[in-house]
Amino acid sequence: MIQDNLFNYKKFVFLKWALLLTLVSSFAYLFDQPRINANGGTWLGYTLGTIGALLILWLMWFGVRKRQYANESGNLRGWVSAHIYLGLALSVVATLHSGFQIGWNIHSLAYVLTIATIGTGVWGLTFYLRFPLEMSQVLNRQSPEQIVAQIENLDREATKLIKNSGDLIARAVASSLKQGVFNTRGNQRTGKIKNCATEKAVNTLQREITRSDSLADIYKNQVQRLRALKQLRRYYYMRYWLELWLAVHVPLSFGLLAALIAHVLSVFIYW
Amino acid sequence: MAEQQQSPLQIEQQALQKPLGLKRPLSWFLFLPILFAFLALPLAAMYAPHLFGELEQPANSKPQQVDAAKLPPNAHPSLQSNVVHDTRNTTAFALDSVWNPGQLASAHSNLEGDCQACHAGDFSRVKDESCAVCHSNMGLHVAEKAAPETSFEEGRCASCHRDHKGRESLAEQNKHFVGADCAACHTDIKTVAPKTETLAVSDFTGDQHPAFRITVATGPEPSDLRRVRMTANTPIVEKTNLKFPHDVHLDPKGIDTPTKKVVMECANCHEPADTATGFKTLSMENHCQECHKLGFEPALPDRQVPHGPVDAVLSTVEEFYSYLALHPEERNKVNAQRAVLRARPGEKDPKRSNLRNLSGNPRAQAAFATVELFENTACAVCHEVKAVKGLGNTKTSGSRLPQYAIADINPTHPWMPMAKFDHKPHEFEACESCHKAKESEKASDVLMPAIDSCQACHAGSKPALNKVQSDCGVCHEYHIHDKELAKK
Repeated sequence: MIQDNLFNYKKFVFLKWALLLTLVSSFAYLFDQPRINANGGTWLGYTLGTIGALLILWLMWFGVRKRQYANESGNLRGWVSAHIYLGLALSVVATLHSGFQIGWNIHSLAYVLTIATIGTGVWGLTFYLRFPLEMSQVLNRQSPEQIVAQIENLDREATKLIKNSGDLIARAVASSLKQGVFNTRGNQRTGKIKNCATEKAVNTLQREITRSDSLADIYKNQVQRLRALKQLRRYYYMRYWLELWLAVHVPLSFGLLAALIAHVLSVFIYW
Repeated sequence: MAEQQQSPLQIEQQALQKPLGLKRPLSWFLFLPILFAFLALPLAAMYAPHLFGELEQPANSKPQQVDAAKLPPNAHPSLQSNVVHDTRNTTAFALDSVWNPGQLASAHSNLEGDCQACHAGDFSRVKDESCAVCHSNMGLHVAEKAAPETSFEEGRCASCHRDHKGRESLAEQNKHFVGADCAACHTDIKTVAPKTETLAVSDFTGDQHPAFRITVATGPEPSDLRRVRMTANTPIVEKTNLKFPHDVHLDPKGIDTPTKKVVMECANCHEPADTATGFKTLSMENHCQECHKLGFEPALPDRQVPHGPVDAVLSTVEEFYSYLALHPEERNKVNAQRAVLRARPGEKDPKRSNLRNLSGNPRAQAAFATVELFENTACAVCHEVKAVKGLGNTKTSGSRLPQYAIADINPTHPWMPMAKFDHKPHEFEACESCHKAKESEKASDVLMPAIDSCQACHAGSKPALNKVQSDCGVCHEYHIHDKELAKK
């Protein structure tokens, strides 16, 4: 790709930084010979812990920075790129800081939340890789409001068209006109709905159209309505997941922040 | 308003357009409880335990001390612990145990719900005073703290003894790593401690470790000890005031006993035991007297003097011959037996030819028997015996007999009191492979092996083929419990 994206931003500059951090931490860990065993309390442990804590604060600051539209320190795409690569590097730094020890305590809770936050970040990234492009493609340079207006135009047209239609068609189209984007909030999770009235109307019309050519207009109308609904369904399905992963990622990071505060304070209160 | 004119589809679209609105409430939902449970609650329980209601007093609030007499003979000094007063704070319901990063060593596991037993809770590192509450007798490495305070790991107890590393005891943990750290100072010990007698040591292999120093007795008092460094061709001797040729007793052809020839083994006398020397104390009664009888009248070999004070011995002899003088029928039995023992013509055994019938002055008979006993047949065989002029203890019946002084035996003591040597794991080795007893003619020989004897099997801190990898902690203790020795 010619254009910078989240990954190759400025020729992978943040990937390089993240790799450097990972390699330096790993080699330091391998060559350090702690007096008893590796843990967060050796000089390397404190160093990695400090780097990790600062990384966590900086990574969380991204949530603030992305709202500051007036802020011009670096561009936002650079921030996202750095957030991804350094966030991944944090998993290595945090693991080495733990010295591969885990237990039922606040320290391990902070570690588990770190890894969970990074994990949900990776999960969210899989959406970010596919959805934004598809979202703009599926709307086809229209806004959702424009598509809704388009459906409403189709519906006004359909109301006129079915005035002279038979009972079967009239009922199918009438219930199709009541069909919204989703039947339940849960439909948004899958992006598909069962028993779509518009889809049924299209199917009914498809059967009936062979008998009467006069149905061609209403058929075309309902096909367009279904296409518009499917655009909205796909769009809001993707939008839902793009928001939902953040609704996991962000609260986990705040849980992590609380655990981090308790971890750092408790370690030094009972040094 | 326009709102009322909106179609259901518009309303649905606007609803879908709205953000989920979960981030903020969920963030608080995770942030606050975690901060509360893992920080606020433990802090409150630490600093204001009264908020949690009246707490039960610990059951052992009375000071306890282990009676010295109830301790095993080789009790580690850490067992001889201090009186513990429960006057400090404890955390309500051990709510701070969520901060516990890992299991405590087995001996400390009872403290897992009581962080403030060691941690002051004021952002300070664990202080030595906290350790000393229980481990008051734990000697320092030398008289003063030895580890330099400048390093990242300053010289605290906890610099080496890091707890929360699992159930393994802290001393065991330390065995894994002490090697490199000892060498850090001891390779060039004179720069750390200019006055020390300790020689430079960097490892156990080759010439990196100096020859052993043996603690030898210089007198009969237990404190009359001196450390002598072994050198290649000068055997170390220690005055014992005892005559004991190991070579004679360990003669592979056997040694004469009253009944037969016996080939003796080391363990006949040196019985392993849990004492400072590692062996039971030897005694005349149990180990020598079966052969070395203390008879004084040749006709009655089973009639012996006690192995005890000189005046008790002399009284026994004096009273025996006086008794015979007063009881002719007993004297005749002795004389009859003497006649049997007397040398036949042609036999040239001076002991036997000297045997005459007892008659006349019993004191002269007793005096003769005393001289024989002390100078020839019994005492002088093993002891340094010196004739003394004058009267003996006038409160005893032997005071007019010839008097003798027996030099005190220097008490047994460990020759390497600081070394952690256990004979048990070495029992597959023959005694002779370290202790050259079969070549020793005198009791004064210190039969301790030189370092090369150990080095035959023990490598240094680095592994070596067919040798036991041995870092400093294998033989040495870091803490010097004896305060006198610690000064040196």
